[in-house]
Amino acid sequence: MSLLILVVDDEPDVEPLFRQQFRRDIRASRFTMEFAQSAVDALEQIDHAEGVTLILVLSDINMPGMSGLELLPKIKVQRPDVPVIMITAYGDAETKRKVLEDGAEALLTKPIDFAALRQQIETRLGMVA
Amino acid sequence: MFVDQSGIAIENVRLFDEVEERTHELSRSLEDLRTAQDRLVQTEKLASLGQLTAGIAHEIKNPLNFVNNFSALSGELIDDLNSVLAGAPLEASVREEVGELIAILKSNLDKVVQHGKRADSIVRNMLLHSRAGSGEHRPIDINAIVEESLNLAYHGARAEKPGFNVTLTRNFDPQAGDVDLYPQEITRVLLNLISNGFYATAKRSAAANGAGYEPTLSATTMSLGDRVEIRIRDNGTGIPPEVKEKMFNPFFTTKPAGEGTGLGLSLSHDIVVKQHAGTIDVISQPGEFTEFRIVLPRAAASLAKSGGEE
Repeated sequence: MSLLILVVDDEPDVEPLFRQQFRRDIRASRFTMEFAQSAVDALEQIDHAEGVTLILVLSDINMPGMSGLELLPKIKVQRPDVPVIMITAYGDAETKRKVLEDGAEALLTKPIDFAALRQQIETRLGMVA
Repeated sequence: MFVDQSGIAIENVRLFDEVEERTHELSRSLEDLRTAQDRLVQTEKLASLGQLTAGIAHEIKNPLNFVNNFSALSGELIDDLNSVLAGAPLEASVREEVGELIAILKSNLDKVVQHGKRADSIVRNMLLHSRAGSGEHRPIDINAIVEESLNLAYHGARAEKPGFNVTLTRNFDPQAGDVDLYPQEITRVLLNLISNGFYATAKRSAAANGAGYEPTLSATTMSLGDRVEIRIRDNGTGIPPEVKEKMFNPFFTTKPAGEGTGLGLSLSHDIVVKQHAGTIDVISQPGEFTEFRIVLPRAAASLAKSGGEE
C-alpha cells in the first residue's frame, strides 16, 4: 500500500516546492504527496484517504478560514494515529506549547528547514517499514 | 537721604540678581521640558513606525521565504543536472558551452540565495521591533551581563575581522547589583552598542593608519540606588550632530550597503525605553569619542507595560 504525506497550506506554490524538494523520493515511490489549500479541504482528503496509508500531515498555521491551530485537534479526533507537524512563520514559545499540547509532533518554522523535515519524514518511513 | 538711596540701590541689585537667577532657572526648566517633549514625540514616532515596519515585514516574509526556498532548491537541481549531463553523449563544443551556462546559472542562483538571506535577516530584525518581552524576565546581575556582552562582542569582532584589536576597560561598580530585565533583549542592546563602538574605533584606526592611536572601549556600571547606569564609551570616530538626530530612526545607517540594517539602534531604543522603562542617551565629540548611557530602573521589566503585542 502506498504511503501518503498530506501537506496543508493556502499558498499554491507550496506544492511545486515540495514536489521538487522530494522529487527523488516520489519518483522512487517511497511515498506520495497530496496537497490541500485549506483546512476544510484537508479534512475531506483525510476522510477519503482510501487505499493509501497516511503517514504524516504537515500543516501551515496561518490560513484564511479555519486556521491550522483549529485544524490540528480535528485531525487528532478523526485520525489519532496520524502524526501532525505544524509549520509556521512565527515560531514563538506560546504557539509551540499550544500545538504540542494539542498533539502535534513538532513545530517547524518557515523558511522550512528541509533537512530537518526530511529527517522527520525518514523517521515516519522507518516506523511503517 | 543718601543712606536711604544707597540702601535702595543695594536692595535693587539684590532683587535684580534674584530675578536674573529665576529667569535662568525658568529657561532651564523650559529647555528640560522641550527636551522631554522632543523625546516623547520621537518615542511616539518610533512606536508607529515600529508597527508599520512590523506589518510590512509580516507581508514580505512569506514571498521572501518562497524566493529563498526555490532558489536554494534550484541550486541543488543544477547539481543534479550536472551529474545527468556528465553521462550524456555530447559533442565537446556543446558540452563546453552547456557547462559554462550551467556554471553561470549556478553562480547567479548563489547570488539570489545570498541576497535573499540578507533580506531575511532585515525582515527578522524588523519583526523583533514589534515583539514586546520575548523570553522571560528575571533578576540579572548587571556587571555579569555587561561582562558577557563585552566578551561576546569582542570575540564576534575578532572572528569577523582577524586583524581587529581594541583595549577593553571595565569600571564595574560592585554595588551595581541586580535588575529585573529581559536578559536576551538587554544583551542584544549591549551587543549593538559595543559592536558599534568597535566599528567606530576600527574606522578611526584605519583613517589614522595606526599612527599613535590606541582603540579603546570602556564599559562602566554604577548604582544610582533604585536605578542602574551602564555606560559604553569608545574613542572612535564620534558622531556628527546631523547623524545624532537621526540615529535612533529605523533604517537609518551610516554603514555601507549590506553592512548595517539601520535597525540596531532603533531596536535598542525600543528595548530600553518601551520594554524596560529606561532611558538611553548619547554624547559624542566627532573625532574624539562616543558614549552611550543607559539607565534602567531596578524593577525595569515589571514597570514597562506588560504583555506582548504581535
